[in-house]
Amino acid sequence: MFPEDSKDLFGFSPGEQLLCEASTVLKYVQEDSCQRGVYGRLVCTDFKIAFLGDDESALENDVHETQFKNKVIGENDITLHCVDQIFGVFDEKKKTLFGQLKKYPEKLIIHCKDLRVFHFCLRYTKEEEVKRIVSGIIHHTQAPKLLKRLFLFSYAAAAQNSIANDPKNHTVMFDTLKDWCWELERTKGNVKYKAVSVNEGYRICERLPAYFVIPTPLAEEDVQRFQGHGIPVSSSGNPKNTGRSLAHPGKIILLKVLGFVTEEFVLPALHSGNIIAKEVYLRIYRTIHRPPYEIVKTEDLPSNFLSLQEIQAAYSKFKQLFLIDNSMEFWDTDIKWFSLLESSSWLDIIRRCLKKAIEITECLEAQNMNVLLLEENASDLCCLVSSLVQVMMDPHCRTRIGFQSLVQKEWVMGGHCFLDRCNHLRQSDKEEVPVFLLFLDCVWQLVHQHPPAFEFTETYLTVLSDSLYIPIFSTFFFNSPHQKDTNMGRESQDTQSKPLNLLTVWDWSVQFEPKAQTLLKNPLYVEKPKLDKGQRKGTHFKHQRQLSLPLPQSKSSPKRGFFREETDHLIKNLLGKRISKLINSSDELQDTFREFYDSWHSKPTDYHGLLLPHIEGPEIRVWAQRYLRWIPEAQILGGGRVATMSKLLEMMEEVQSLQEKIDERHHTQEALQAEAPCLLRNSARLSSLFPFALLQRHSSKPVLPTSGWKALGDEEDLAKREDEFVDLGDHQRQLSLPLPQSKSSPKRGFFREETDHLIKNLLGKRISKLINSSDELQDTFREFYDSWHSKPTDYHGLLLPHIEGPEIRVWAQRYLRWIPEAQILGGGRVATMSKLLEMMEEVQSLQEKIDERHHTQEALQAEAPCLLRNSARLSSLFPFALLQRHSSKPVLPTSGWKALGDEEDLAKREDEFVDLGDV
Amino acid sequence: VENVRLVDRVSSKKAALGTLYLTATHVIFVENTPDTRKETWILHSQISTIEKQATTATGCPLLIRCKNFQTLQLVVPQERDCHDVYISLIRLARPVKYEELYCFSFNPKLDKEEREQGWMLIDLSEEYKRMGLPNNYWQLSDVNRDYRVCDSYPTELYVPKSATAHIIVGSSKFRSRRRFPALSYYYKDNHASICRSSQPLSGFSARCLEDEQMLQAIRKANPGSDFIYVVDTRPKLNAMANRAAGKGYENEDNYSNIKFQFIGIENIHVMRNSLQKMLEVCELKSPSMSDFLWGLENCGWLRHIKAILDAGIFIAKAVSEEGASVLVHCSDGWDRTAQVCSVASLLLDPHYRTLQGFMVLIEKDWISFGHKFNHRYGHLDGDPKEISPVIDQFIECVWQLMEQFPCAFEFNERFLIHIQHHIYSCQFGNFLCNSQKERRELKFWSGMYNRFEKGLQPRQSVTDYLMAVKEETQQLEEELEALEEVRPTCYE
Repeated sequence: MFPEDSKDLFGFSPGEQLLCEASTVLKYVQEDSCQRGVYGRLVCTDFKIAFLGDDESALENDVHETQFKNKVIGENDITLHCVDQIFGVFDEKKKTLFGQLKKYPEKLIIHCKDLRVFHFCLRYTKEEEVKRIVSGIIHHTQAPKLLKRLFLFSYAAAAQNSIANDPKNHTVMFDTLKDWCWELERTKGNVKYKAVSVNEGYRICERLPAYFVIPTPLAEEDVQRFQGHGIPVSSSGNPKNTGRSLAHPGKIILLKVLGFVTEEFVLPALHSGNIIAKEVYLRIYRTIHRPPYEIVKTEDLPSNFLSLQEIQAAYSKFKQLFLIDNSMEFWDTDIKWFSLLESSSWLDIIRRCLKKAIEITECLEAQNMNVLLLEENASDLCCLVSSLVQVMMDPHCRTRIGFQSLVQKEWVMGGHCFLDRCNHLRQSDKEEVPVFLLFLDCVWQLVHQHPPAFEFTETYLTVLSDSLYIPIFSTFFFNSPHQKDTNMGRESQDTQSKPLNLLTVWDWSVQFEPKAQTLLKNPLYVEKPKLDKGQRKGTHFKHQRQLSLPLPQSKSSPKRGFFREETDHLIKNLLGKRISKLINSSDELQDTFREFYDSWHSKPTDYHGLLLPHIEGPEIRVWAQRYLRWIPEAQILGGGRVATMSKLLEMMEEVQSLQEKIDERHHTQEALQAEAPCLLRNSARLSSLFPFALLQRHSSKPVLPTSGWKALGDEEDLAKREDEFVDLGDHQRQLSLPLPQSKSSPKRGFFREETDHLIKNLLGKRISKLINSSDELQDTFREFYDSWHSKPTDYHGLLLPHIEGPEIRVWAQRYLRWIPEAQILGGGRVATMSKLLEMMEEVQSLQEKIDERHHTQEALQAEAPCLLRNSARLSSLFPFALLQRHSSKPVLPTSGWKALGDEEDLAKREDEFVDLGDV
Repeated sequence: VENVRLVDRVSSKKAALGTLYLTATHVIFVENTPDTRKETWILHSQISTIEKQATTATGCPLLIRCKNFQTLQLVVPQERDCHDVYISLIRLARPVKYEELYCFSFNPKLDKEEREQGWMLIDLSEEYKRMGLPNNYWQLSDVNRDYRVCDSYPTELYVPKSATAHIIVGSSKFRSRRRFPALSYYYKDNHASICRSSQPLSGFSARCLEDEQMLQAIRKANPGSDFIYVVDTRPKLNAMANRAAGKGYENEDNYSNIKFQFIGIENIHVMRNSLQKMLEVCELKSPSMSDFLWGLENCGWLRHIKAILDAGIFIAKAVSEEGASVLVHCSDGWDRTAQVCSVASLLLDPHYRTLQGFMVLIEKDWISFGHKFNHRYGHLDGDPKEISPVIDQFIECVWQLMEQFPCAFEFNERFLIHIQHHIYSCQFGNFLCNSQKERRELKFWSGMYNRFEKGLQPRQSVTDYLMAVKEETQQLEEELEALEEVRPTCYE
């Protein structure tokens, strides 16, 4: 095929084959309304569509560039599965491309499923090549494919050796009986439930995993019997029905919280009228109705929750908001941002999912009821709801390992049809529903609201959602474990004796360098205090154990008390109501739901306990990092949450280095070479959509060879200036000092240049056509605005706000501070801020320690820096909402108040509050 | 002071039993539960409306809405008591004379000197000096001494050197309420400036030579540019309507070398209604997603905020990039003009993003240039149509900026909220009255700024504090190093 060296040149993955290519393709840079571009070759392989720029080398020397580079997918690579839609431009008109073409377009626009938009100009390419590449791309991305032809298999076959060493990532894969038993033990469900292996080798059902868990009283033979084994119905009824009836006993999810066993069953719908199914259902129902099981509540998902069509329709509208061809289009849609957002109703769907999950949590937690989830295949909304509930109830699922195990258990082993839902084989567009993405978005809302409760970051969720479309990982490319096993098994018989070794997505080192992987870890995560090792024994899964310890009895008791109280209260309430008037049950439910929700949100958050999301309008947000990351207009360089985060990281590093220093002195008593912690991760350069948007922006650099140097120089210059500024900031303690003249001069130069450029531009325009003045103004305005925003921010220079729709917010602290529903205890920005303050205090205390040593030269009694200002108690609208809630003064003198004044009083009360937090 | 037992309802059905006190300055509600005795304090000046609702079986409900958007629902068991409370609150919440305001009874235990110092904290002449004034092009004018020319302007004003008293007075006669063009911000890097005025009384054809000369003088004060921008912050339609009333906007044909630009910021009435709608959206009890988003877009509040930011960007661009001076006006030049000038200055000058600088900015663009605090924020009983959240919008613009660039500001969200609170609370004298003249006639002292000096540290500024900590760390490390070198000898 081709020589070895050319493979290296293209950076092809093992097993990848070149299908067609075209040279001198111009890739437009999106931000300039398609006026500039890079020349290069467009290549289509059986893995991806790649654009290879002619001038790649300039990119290499940027540090930030490599910081978060994906090792598998480059920034100009689109895997074939990631292509969403392809458009061609014929004489300025955009048309969707599919099937056989009569005429070939001069421009190709590719919309990706991760919401990137690529523009390729084919005007300078040979006609022959255009034909080949366009039809090649269309064929390979849109024609239906066979499972066997997935790149997955050729990759696995070619890279057999290199991926042989299976690294220890501690995710529980749930593909052995041991894993299930372990999970049972972890959740303390082994009294009432057992793991069974009746389905080993998929003897009973292909939709079920090989191992699963059922209630103990149910005999294994029973399971077999109910599954239609040997019963004539299974052969007469369609196989689908059998599949349905089989699905239910398998999907038992055990959640053990606070000493009560609570569980969910995922059962098939009974709509089918299948007698066997009904019988099974009744039996199961009876089984779990008997003591020691509690009352069961059934939840029929499709009929009173969401339909897949709704999700599909909402998402396809929603994603159009972000698939923007040029900045003109962006500004046009920007005016109507909120109403567009509303009309897509995607946020509403997220809200309904979260609400449903809270409802079920309420049943499990407060009412001690079991819940049966019913769905036709038990593999879409069931997965979504049950895994959301688990994220909310089980702190283990909020660690990275735990979350991965959860996805593995509920989605991969639970038989979510990834192949169909992601439409990997292009067989039916109707089946394509982003259920898993919806789940990730729901989790993101939780992460956003309660940052300290999660071990992973939003970046983690984003890259996970991207991994759905990378066909070298087997995780998301099968409809069921059965399908996976059979496909791998056959392969091994045909060719070699070795079975195929497929990669799992959980091995992040395949995609990212260790440094980039740190971005997946949340620095705000409050790790749980570890228990004594002696308390629990066991050699397996030692690592996980630490993260996944069930709630210790002592800790949960107050909470339990709280719930008891609540439940008592509830019961009374309900009884009272029943007596007083007749009410329908849904109303009642609504009521208890509200009560549960409100009472939970009025207590301080326990990050290692139950976690409920907020579902009020203002709290459901757009997942900016995922959806807006490729749109240059929407990013704020040096701003947003990311800036606070990076500051925090800096602080943490500093603390660590100080701590290390103290430790070192302690142990070795040797002279210490003061190594400056030179970790200047300059926050001014980070975009608010970091780490994604940055990549793209830098990629546009070598666009114009003539001005490219200028641009580069400019950047460097700015970088220098930034450092200057930071230093200045240090010295400028009083901050009332006027900025020194020298500081502003480089900036002036920069603006001069810009002005020149502008003037030329304007002149050119004036010659070419008559334009009215307001338009022109608009134009220069835009240019100025864009050019400023594309540079790193200088905090001590000119500062321009962003005026895009997504960036103009509701000022929550001011408008919503009195509305109890709208606050998140222990969440929001305030949590980050308080963490920052904590860190600062820690730094200070460390310094004090150093000071102390300095003066006294005495041995240091290791005093733990006990500065726990519990961020869990702060409301997101701190300090206002809190004041209202906690202000407690013992006595009220009649006259003295006037003199004291309420201001001072407020300040005092706050201090008190902080003390409380300490205790 | 009444002594009634009351039921307090926040939002849920739970009600707290307690006692309501009315003092001369506050409404205080104290819960009866012995261990917490939760208190709610509300300043009379914060009360915006009081509603008495229909009596029910449990009692007579009273709804108090505050200017900081807090709402309080009380149920008084006796209707007679409720009526008494209602009547006295109405009286207390709407004082008629300045002397009844809280700041005159508020005693922060400072002696006279300390209070005077509080007022000395902000010195505007110091601020102009910082900008690099006076210089070859700009001078301090005494034309408005004793408020002879314009009673809503301060006495100390900077005007171009080439503008004689004759020109200024002539120009002032051609401007609404005699608010002639005066300097607001001077960008010393390229001599460009931001000036402010009110609308010209041009009608359809009127001209004024002095006013034209005045604009020329401003242009000449900036040698770097051969034109100035004239920014009218009103929507074009509103400006046209004003023209029919003998006011209006500059005609580009009559003034040489100006570029005229409209930026559509709506008037105070639209803003007031928009805020009202926005609050309704925020107060919806468990709104659906579409209610919320739809309401948010329909209230238009964020769109108005964006318009102000837009105007700020336009001016910042003109000044910093094109090096052109800008004259900003709206109708009277005290609402939108103040907003736009201060946003633009904030964008241009990092000094205004510091604690001190921000206070100076408010003092300069709002207090001294005669923003009508009394009318806009309803300190004294007055026309409800004059009330509008003008400075609130400016503060919100700053907040939006802060949200986007958390590291660029020395102060934080809380500082903004405090300022906003005190604009309404009248606890300090800074935000009283409609103009400097009125204020001078009243003569009082207070120490609001002193409070901020003491009260908010060290939590107020994360960035500043961080910087300090960082520097200290470095010093300590150096010391540590030095120490370590000595150390082995000690032990041996």
